[in-house]
Amino acid sequence: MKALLGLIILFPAFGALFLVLFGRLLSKKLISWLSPSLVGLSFIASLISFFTLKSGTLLYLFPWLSVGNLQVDFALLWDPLSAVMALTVSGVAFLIHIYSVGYMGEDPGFARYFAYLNLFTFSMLLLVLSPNLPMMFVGWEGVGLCSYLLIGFWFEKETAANAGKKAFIVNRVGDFGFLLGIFLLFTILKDLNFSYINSHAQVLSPAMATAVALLLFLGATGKSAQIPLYIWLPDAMEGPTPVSALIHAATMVTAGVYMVSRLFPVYARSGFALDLVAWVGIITAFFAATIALVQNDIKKVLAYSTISQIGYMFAGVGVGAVSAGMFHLFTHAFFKSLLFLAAGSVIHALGTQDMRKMGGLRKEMPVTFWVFLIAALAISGIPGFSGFFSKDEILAQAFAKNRAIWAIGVITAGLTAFYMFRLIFMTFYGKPKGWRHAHESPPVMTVPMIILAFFSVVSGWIFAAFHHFLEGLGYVHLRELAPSAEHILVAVSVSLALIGIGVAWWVYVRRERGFNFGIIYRVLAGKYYVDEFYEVLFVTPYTQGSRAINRYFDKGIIDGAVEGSGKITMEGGRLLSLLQTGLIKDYGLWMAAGVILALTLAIRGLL
Amino acid sequence: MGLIPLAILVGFAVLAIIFDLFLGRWWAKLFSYLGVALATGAEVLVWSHRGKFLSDLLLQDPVGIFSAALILIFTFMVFLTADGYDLKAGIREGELYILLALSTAGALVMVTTRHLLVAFLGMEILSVANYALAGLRRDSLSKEASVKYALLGVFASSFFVLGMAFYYRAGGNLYIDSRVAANPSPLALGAGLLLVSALMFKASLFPFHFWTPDVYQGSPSPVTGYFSVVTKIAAFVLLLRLSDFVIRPEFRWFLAASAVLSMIYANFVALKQTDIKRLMAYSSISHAGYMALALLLGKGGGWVLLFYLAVYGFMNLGAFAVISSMAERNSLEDYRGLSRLNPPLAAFLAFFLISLAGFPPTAGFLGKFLLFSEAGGAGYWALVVVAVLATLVSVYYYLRVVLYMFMKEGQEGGFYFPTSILSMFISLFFVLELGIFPYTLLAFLKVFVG
Repeated sequence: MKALLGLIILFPAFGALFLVLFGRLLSKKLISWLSPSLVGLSFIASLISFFTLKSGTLLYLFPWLSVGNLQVDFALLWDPLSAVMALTVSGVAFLIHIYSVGYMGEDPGFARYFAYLNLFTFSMLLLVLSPNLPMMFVGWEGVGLCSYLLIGFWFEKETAANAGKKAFIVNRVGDFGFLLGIFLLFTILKDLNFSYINSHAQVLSPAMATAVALLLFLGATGKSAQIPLYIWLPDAMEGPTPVSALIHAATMVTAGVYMVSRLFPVYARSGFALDLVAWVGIITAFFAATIALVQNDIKKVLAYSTISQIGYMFAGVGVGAVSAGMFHLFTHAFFKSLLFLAAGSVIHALGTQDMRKMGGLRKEMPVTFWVFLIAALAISGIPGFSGFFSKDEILAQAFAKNRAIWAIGVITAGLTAFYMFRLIFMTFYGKPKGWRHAHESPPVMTVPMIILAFFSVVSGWIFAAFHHFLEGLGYVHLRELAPSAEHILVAVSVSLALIGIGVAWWVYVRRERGFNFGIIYRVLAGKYYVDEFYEVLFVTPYTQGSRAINRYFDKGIIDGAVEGSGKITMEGGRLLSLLQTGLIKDYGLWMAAGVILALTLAIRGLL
Repeated sequence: MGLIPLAILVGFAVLAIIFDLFLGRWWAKLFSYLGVALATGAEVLVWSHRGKFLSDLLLQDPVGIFSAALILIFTFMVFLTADGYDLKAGIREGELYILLALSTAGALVMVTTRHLLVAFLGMEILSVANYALAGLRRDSLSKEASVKYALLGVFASSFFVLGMAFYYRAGGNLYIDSRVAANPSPLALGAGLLLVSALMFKASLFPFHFWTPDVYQGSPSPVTGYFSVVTKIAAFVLLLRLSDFVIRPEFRWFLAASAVLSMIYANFVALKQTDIKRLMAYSSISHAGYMALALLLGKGGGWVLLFYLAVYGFMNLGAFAVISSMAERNSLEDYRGLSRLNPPLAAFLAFFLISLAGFPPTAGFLGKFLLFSEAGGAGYWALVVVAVLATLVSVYYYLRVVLYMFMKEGQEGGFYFPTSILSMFISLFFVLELGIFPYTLLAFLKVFVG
């Protein structure tokens, strides 16, 4: 039965390959059946694996690297962590594939879109099922590549092309840390399998564990859009909305949380790294939520919300509660992808993303409105909905570990409720602003949303079972709180959420006017000017430095056509004139200088 | 026995010259192809007769046979690439193939000798043919490339000759495997520095790389591909054989500094290039920088160096197969909208650039991964950090080309297959094969090269 694991990744891989090779030749109808159903089969394979396979099952495929100490195989690992991820990824991906059939129905790049989407699903499943770091890195880069391709899917738009490029570059910074972390770990432990690393985490000195953990965490902040590398995610909203739902909300961006959970013993070995994860998470959660307060683009609000919610997950893992963080990852996948799909439904109907041009859509789009409302209640942490269970567990665990983290988290919960209901009130309430006709989306789009809405409610109810299941990993424990304390914490966070909703209602329904706090508003709307800061700090020096070095050394560079044509006519093939350009003399001088410098220094060192 | 591949190659090249004179260029091409193909076969057969030949001057050891086979395969791919190219550029086909075959013979000598004088002969055979190859096109840029390459090449050759003189004085012979490197005298050190510097010139390492962009830009595109791969392999294999010098403590920092500067300098300068062959020149310099890390590991780094050279050869020749089919329209502007004009070409180039940038699952990733983890394991942490950073920065300029091809508007065009497509497919296959199933090759290299 182990072969099932192979099937999980094989179905989407086959879909991607088939569509890349023959996509141009296939009819839309065939593609819209083939691509989603392959992912569906992958989901079914995951489900069967869930019920039949024992934890720790390893499907060995073929040897990959074997050089000296390094022994890395291509294999697939099924344990509680990968099971949760594989089920979430394939399930949500299946629903979003179906939704995309409706959403992308008119797009000329239909085949290309589904090829990328299948490739993404394959890479993501590879990432979560890999039993060692190098394979995980392959999946990690694979999902990244698909993400850039899909962000820049409408590359005719310059903003889309630039957003793809930005995501690519920012993630390379993260990869830098990730790769160095892998190298360092390999140098110390001489093995890169998760089982070995986790069982030998105690061998690492705390300082080494800290170094490894921080380097890997840099990779996580890139992929999961946390401070300091979150800046690419809001721009990534240039991609098609189902892509935002799948990649930039439910699955890929949570890979960082998964990675930290996967290597939790290494983080735990270094107390500092774990604290840092918690702090980066909670500060990102707060920081992104404040920016979300003032965005007017419906997808930008959701993007900052995603950054903020992932911050919660890191905070959960960082305070030592792996299962709480992972549970929030699990519930978030449903309600956040639902929020995006519902937003996509609105965008599909109106053709705009600006909430100031929406309003009053409740009547025209009832299904979209209701599922949106359910998802918003879930993310706001209203009791009974899934987000309530997962978020409150993180807050409770934070309270037990560090009150400051809890306090920031609970304030952020209030902000979350506010911006989410601000979005709802601006979009669905009040009078129509600037649109005439709107229509509900077709069933191919609404049915996946309804299914997700169902899970946005009920997925929270299984917390006890979920936690028990993850305990199978061996390093997952939750702190116990007194019931009375827990009740008080719940009361505080729920009342803050209700206050947030109330304020949003008062500002946007009652007064029907936005608010404007002057300088604070401008700073928030300007996203704290972090993009500009990075531009000055990193991008400009690189381009300017390149230009300066070129001007001095690379004289052959032709800076514009005029100079180039002039050069050719002037030289006209006369060989001797080349000697007079001085270039050869320069080059020779450099070579001689290099040798002489080396000789003198080496011989001086010798004597 | 060990001489047979070389004899076949040179013999067929001579036949090609004669037939080219009397019966036309088609024959020159045929004999060159045959010569390289048969020599490859012969090189494989030599495997079971490993050892020293020709009064112990030639050495057919695993390193030599493996790299010779690589060189021959890559030359064959350059032939395939040149096939469609030479018709467009008005180059006399015969000369191109014959010179390539002769240059390859020089490279074979360089990698399968244990004597410095023979190595020098090989280097000169290679170089003289290369100078002529660089100037084959009938425009000023090509002539300029040829002259620059030749004049600066003379510098390198003179370093090498002087190095040999010192070597002889210090050790009393010119055998590469005699223990001169262990000799503490300044003379031996000077010998090593001069020899290594000359080879660093051929390998395009800082500060001996200055010729690279000009020569790459001016030479015919398939020839540029050839320079970037075959010349580099020959130089690096000889450097590997001299690596006892490299890892001497007084010496190590020189190569380390050169590696670091090659990586940083090349990746910085490449960003502002507007000519794809200049850009590839800087890419080639930066890859030389990465490979220099393997040299610092001494003989023990041989396997990873050879693996990287193989990977680099396939991905770089793949890229040059695409560049060659652009018929010397080398400005990045000419690549604007290529994805519309000719989707397969754009897809191939994007793939090879992604591999050069080091993305999994391509072999480019694996090569870097193994190289950097070995260097890290040997304690060169600062170098690894720089190398990973350099890789990170390099993505920026490789990506620029991809963006030009895919993300700028261009007109719709025909869907034609260039003749170099075969070379592209071979590269594609091996870049994936070595990325996903490298096990056999790695095991082979680990066992025989160590």
